[in-house]
Amino acid sequence: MNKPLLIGIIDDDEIYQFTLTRIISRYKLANKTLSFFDGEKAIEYLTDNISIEENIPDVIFLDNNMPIMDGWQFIEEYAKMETKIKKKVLIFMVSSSVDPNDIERANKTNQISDYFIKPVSIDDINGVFDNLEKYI
Amino acid sequence: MNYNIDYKELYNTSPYGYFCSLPDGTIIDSNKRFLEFTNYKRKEVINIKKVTDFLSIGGKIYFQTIYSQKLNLTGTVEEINFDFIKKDGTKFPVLINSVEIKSKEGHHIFTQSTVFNISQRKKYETELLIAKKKSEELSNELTLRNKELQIGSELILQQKLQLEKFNQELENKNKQLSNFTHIASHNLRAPVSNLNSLMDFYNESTDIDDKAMLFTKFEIVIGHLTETLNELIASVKIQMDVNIKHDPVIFDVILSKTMGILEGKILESSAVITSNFAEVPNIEYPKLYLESIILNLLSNSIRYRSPNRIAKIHLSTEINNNEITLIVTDNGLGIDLKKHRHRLFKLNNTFHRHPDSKGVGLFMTKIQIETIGGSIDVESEVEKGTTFKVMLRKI
Repeated sequence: MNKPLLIGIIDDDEIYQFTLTRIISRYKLANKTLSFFDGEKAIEYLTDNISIEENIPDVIFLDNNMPIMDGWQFIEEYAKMETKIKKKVLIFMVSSSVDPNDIERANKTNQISDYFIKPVSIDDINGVFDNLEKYI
Repeated sequence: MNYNIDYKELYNTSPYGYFCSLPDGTIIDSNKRFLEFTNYKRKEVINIKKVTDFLSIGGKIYFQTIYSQKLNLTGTVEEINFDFIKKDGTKFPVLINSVEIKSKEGHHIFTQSTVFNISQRKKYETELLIAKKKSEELSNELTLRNKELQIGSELILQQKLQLEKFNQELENKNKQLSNFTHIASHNLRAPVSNLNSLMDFYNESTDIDDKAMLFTKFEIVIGHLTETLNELIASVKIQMDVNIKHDPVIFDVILSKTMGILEGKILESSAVITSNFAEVPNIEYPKLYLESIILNLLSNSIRYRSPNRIAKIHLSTEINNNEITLIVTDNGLGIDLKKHRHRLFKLNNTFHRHPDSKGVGLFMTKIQIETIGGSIDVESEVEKGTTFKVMLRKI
């Protein structure tokens, strides 16, 4: 996979949104980032853009703990629409939960490519983009 | 066949003693069995002893007043009990049956008596009496033991309840502890990692405007961190308050006070608040906690009212299985419990896009309730309303 064009960040933490966006633009990891403050807003966006391939993010960083609709609920909704999306979207769950149940659940979930525990460093992010092929 | 039955022999060896006596009591004949019973020789008795000679003083009086009178009146006496005195002075109990034998002219000639030795029967009787007494004693003993057992089992039941209570408390403490760990790890790690990232940017940046912008971000994170820490400290304070004072509180009074505090919001929302605390009008409970619980539930109901109808909120109390329950029902937006139940009472979890939703109220409410040993449950349907049931305490 080439460097992604579009990255989606689904996280209710505005500062985390800010820092991750800044890292992505600084290292030119993508052309554009989309910010969603909870899963429901992201699902709404995906539903609206389902047939517009260029508007679908190549990579999503998904927080698991959010109000309204959390990361797991997002995955549930995403799985329902997955077949209608023509592109392979890599979803990385990023969580401050060190709960082994969450990690195991993420490993068992097809839609999730990997699980990161916050804080996610610049090196972690770079590592993801250098090895995108491995997740496909 | 020709049977020569020896009636004399039968008379002598019968298990009954027989004797004949004159009207004045003198014994003029007896069978061998009677002599055996009394241990006298024939010549010591016949024409020498009177019936009364075999009786004690008490027996003689009874013989003359009852036995003789009855015999004179009716001609027969059946089964009168006497103690007969043997030659050696010892006594044995007998039953006597007597019949007056009369001449053709109706004169009393003599009396025929049978003497049945009832020593064996008396012995059985005594044994039966002893057995009866014993069984009564045993039954009393059993009743006593039963009572002791009952007291014992009540004690065990009490201890069991006590243990269950301790267990429940421990379970609550465990839950609170695990909650706390979760909150500490989740709600504190995030802002701290944000601070680190911002710090990296800040150090790398050479642009003054950029640094100033980053500084405003620091302020935001520090604000969040302070808020979360304060919430955690508040929750720990509550959890340490295990022995917090219980006051006698009246639900109506607390509700009036709470409605006073929320007056602005009630007016603004035109919410209709009703209550019925008839079943349980008052309770022993930490007053501040009850105020805070009612304030939180009530303000939640007002905040999450439906824009499509007038908000109606009803508060009531009831007793179920010795538990006092506070019920707060509204007709508001409702919560999708299938999706959100597991996060409902967690810190910083909200389910509605509302500017005032911070996800602290229900978290604190739950901690307050559980610290007192109670529990909170919720029933809800989206666009129908929500009912919170707070088990405050056992009686």
